[in-house]
Parts: sequence; C-alpha cells; structure tokens
Amino acid sequence: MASLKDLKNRIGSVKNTRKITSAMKMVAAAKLRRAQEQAEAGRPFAERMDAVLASLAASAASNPGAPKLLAGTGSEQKHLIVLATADRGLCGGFNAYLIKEAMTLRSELLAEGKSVQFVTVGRKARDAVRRVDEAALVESFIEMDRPNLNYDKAQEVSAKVLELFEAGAFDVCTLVYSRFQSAIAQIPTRQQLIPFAVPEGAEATSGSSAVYEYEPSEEAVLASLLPQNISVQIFKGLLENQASEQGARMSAMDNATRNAGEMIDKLTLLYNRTRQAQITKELIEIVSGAEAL
Amino acid sequence: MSTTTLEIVTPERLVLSEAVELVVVPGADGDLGVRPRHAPTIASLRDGVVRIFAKGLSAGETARYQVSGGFVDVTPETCRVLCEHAEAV
Repeated sequence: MASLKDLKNRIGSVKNTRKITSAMKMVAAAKLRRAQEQAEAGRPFAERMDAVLASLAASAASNPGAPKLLAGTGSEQKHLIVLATADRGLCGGFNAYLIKEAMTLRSELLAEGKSVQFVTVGRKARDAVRRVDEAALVESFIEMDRPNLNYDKAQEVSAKVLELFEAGAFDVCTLVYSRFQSAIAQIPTRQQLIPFAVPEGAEATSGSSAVYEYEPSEEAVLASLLPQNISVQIFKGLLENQASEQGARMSAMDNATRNAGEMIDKLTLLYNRTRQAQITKELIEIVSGAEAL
Repeated sequence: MSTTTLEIVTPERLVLSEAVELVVVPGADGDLGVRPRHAPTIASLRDGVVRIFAKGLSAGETARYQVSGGFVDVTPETCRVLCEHAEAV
C-alpha cells in the first residue's frame, strides 16, 4: 500500500492539475464568447454576398463563357482539400474529428482514381497531412489566430488557392472545417469552394434579380465577386472553426476538472483510511507490547 | 427630405448604418450618387472614398470612408456597400 506521504503528494498534484484545467476552461469560455461575436459580426456580409452571387450565378451558369470558378474546368480529376484545424491540442476530439473527415474524403477520392492535394491551416492539420502523405501537402498556414484572426489572414489562404487554380493545379476545391453548433456540438463539414456551388432554390430569387441594373456589366461583377467569395467563405470557415475549437476546449476542460475533482475525493478517502489503519496498527503494537511484559 | 439607409459592411463587422440623404460611392465606371428611391443596382467599386452627405448636398459632406475591394447593392430604400476594407477618414 502506498505510504501516507505518497498519497499526500498525489493529492497535491491532482489539485494542481485541477487548477490548471479549470483556468483553461475559463479562458476558453471567454475566448468562445469573443469568437462567437466575431462570427456573428461577419454574418451580414456573407449573407448579402451569397444572395447576390446566387442570383447572378443562376443566370450565368448556363452561359458558355461562364468563368471557370463558376463552371469548373470541365474535369474533376484533381482535387484540392483545404483542411482547417487548430494550432493547439487539449480540445477534446476537435482536431481528430476534422483530420478524420479530411482523410475519409481523401480515401474516397483516391478510391475513385482521383488525385488529392492539401492546403492546411493550423499546426495539427499540417502535422497530420505530413504523416500521411508529405508530397500532397502544397502549402500550410499556422498561427492564423495570433494575435487575432482577421480577413487579411483568410485572404492569404484564398490567394494561394486561387494561384494554384490559375496554374491548373486542381479542378475541384473542398474546404473541411468544423461548423459551430453549440459549445458541446461541433460538426466537421465539407464545403465545395471551387467550382462555386449554386445553392438550392436560387432560381426562386432570380426573378427579382431581373430588375437589378449591373455596373459595369453582369459578367464583370460576377468575375470580380467569385474570387472575393472564396476569401469570404474561407474566412467564415475559419471563424466557425475558431468558435468550435474554443467550445470543444471548454467542454474538454470542464470534463477534466470534474474528473480531477472525483479523483481527489477518492484519493482523500484512501488517504484517511490509510491513516486510520496506521493508527490502529500502532495501537495494536503498543497493546501487544504491554501485554507481553 | 427623405433618406436612404446606408450600410457599410466588411467581412469582419458592420462599419456603419445610418440614414442619409445622399451618398457618393466610387463605382468602377465612375462615381455614383445614390439618393432615396434609386433604381436597384449592383455595381462593383474601385478603391476610393465613399462620401456621405447626411443632410443633403447643400449641407456639405458629413463623413468620408476609404473603401477597397467590393461592390455596392442599391435598392430604393437602402444602399449597402460591401467591401473588404473600410476606414473612416
């Protein structure tokens, strides 16, 4: 049986761990609120953008001269996966789920005989892709949220993606990120960035778009909006990811704090039992010593 | 005089939401003045300055915003400037 001193040390160290996990939980909760506010603030822009693009795209998709970003390159052979995860761990299964989602997508595509390349955001994604297939990693971005995540950072990513697309490096681009549902539920999500996926029900709104005047022209507006939309979508994905990460970390740390509490209770019980057993043993020794005289 | 609701929105936040009588935005093909009951228009913007005349042209300019990379979505009641960057100057 462990000695009293060992038990005491053990209790002390679990208490320290609990302090750390509960502090991390508080920090994650504060960061989560900020991330949610940021995601909220970005919504009006994305919504307007979607509405305008959807109505434009619905009418332009049938044109033979539609931009490649909208119509695609005519082939689906080469795929690019943009995988966004966190830089840090200690956030439950957050990173693991995202990586699994991307790897499932990769195997599906490989099974269909297509080629897959990766652009990663976040240290965990980079490391995971390196382990699986180093040659497929085209570019990686880390520390995007330091000091804070802003639109310029998302533009760096989209600039790289567009550069690759212009160079003909891929035909279809999919973004894998985690959609934030609540602090305890985050859903790994695939979103097709290129070619632009016209949302369902876009036809319904195209009726009203007919009254719009476009300057300089419908095609020119569409051509300038499509690349911008890639940045906006990536930015939205990164914001959702950020909120999800903090949510995942908060619930992971909440669990850890609770487990540490249970462990402390158990250890304290064991400590007290051991102490009493020892006292009893000493008494027996004294009594039997006295009897022997 | 009637007013139109001007909104300047970036991907990061809503920069401005205000009732104005006239706003001049830097359209790709030249500046575009927007008053209430303007025909519905979507125009791309060049990098430039959005000039706001909240109390009409004669009362002078009330605010200026430097904007880059975006477009404007005009309806009879609203004028939404969607751009990547917007800064009061």
